[in-house]
Amino acid sequence: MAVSGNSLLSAIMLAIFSAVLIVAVGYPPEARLMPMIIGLAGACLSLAQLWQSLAAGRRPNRPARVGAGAPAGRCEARLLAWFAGFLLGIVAFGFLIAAPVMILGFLVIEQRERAMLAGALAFGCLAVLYLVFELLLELSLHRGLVAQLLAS
Amino acid sequence: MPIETHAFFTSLGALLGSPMLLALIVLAIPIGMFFGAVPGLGGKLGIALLIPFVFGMEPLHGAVFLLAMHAVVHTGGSIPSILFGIPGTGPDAATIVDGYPMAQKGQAGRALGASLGASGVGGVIGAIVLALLLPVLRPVVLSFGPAEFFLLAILGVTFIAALSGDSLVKGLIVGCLGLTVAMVGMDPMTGVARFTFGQLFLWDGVDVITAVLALFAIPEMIALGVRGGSVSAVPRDLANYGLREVIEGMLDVGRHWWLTLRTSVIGALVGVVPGLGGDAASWLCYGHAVQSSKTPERFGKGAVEGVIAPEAANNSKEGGALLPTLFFGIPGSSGMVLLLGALITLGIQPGPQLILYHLDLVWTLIWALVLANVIAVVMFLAIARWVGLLTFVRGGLLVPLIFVFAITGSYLSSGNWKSLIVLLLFGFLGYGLKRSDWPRPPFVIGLVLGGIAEVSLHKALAIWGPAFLLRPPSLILLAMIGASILFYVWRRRSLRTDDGG
Repeated sequence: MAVSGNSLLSAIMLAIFSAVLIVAVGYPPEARLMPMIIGLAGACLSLAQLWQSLAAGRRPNRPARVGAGAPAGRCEARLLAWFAGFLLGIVAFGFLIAAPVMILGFLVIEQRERAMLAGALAFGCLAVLYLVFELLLELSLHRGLVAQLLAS
Repeated sequence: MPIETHAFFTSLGALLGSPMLLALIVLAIPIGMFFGAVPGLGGKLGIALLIPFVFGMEPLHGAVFLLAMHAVVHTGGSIPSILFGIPGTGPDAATIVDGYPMAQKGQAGRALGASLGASGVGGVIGAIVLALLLPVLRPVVLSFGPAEFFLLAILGVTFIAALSGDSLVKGLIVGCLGLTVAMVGMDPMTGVARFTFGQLFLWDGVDVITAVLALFAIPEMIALGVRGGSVSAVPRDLANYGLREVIEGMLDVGRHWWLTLRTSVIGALVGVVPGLGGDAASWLCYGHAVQSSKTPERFGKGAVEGVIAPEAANNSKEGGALLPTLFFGIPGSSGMVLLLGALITLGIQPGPQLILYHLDLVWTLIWALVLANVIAVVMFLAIARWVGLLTFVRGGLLVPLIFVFAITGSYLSSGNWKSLIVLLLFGFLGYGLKRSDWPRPPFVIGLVLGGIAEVSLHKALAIWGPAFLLRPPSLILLAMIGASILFYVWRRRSLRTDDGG
């Protein structure tokens, strides 16, 4: 039986609230009051939602989900991977290096844009990051773990 | 009262006398219209993405900039609704019913002018309603104690949960998750580190801005990337109109001044009720326009009143929504959820302290709302010929830029690269919620109000014990929580009856 998104999310929520309850037991009485109230309420609601989602899944003749096809799913997975890539790239190499490189890569590889347009957008982003944040607002952007490692 | 009159005038003087504030308003307006006009973006994303740009600004400057931007989002949102029948933002959907038929009849400019005029007037009236309610609300806010603030936080979560999605249970679960995440960090009563997994950066709690960006900006961008997110397939001929037509549409607002006034006031009052939101305001006012018309048969076929009513309500509700947001810390709309988070980041703590000690700030925000709506009309007229082109911006080009600025916002807000891991995890969670149609605003309201709720609960228990629930103001708030649940049940039953019959 295929697990619906609702059932999966309900199960995840139930697991989170159960973990909250278990962990909260170890705290002093004042510190555990609110986590216990919210954890209990959340666990009961998640259980009710899980039961409802599973019951709805067993019902015959339920309408097929629109827009949940395999091509859309693959596209979603690719975009989520790109997002993770942007994030990991910035953590490793910093904003000023990773951001323009990832933008260029995303637009050329994923969106099949012309290299000229992609380059212009990547350069524009670099200019905003450097001129607005570093120079104008005097905010220091993350330089990247690799740079920190090399410096040390 | 003299103090309030003083604040009323000094704040206007301060706003008009500050070139920086005026420049920020002028800068915010095209940005707000851009986020409104490009389908798939919207005001919530606008606030989330502009937060990194207000770091380092004075709190007042940052707040005025974000509020002015958010105030004119629906003005921009009417552009794709009217020209192409594609709502720029959710609440603009009501404008399509008559706006799009007007464009098909070759009256696109007139419809846009009517929308622009109604938006401007609505925004100003919304601010006036907010200003008029201020003296009435002040004693109410000041009479509240910890018991009331605890219950107000619960009411806020329940309201948003009941009204922001199709399932109350899902909304409450997400709200509980937000409240749980609010408990990450040092316990305010005992100093014990809770749910920190041994990570020092979590001792200060989960950063609100990181959570907002993860739950709103990231899922919206992934969804935009999947579906394309531009209206470029629509023929551009529909976007052709002249300035004279736009002015003719604006004059229509004057011709229907009584309808404009009524729907603006209704919109502002709907905005005051936390969680009802723009959809309710615009559809309610559209329905009111149809019911009060002598010729209701014209609606749906290109009646200009069908554009004026929802657009006036859309903008006026922002003024009303500021009221619970600023004075109770309970957002009046989902956009206000993000504005609340942004205000806290800027160092402005919404709540009774604001009305007691920072009334000048409140008045400046009200004046900024008025000015933004007035300037938006002038700016729109100046660029009327080209404004339709905004809707042709391709989503694919925006996705990587917004990824970068969301990551920048999260990093600058927390000052620690490790918070980017939270952004990643919550980003995946946010997309999961969006994909399965679970509401996301309850999470943010839970996260924002969680701390206040916990401290207030401990204080209330220390002062009154569990009997705090039996105090008359508590009973009123408990009744309101019950009423919001009953309203949800009634709404679901009505929808089911409509579907069945």
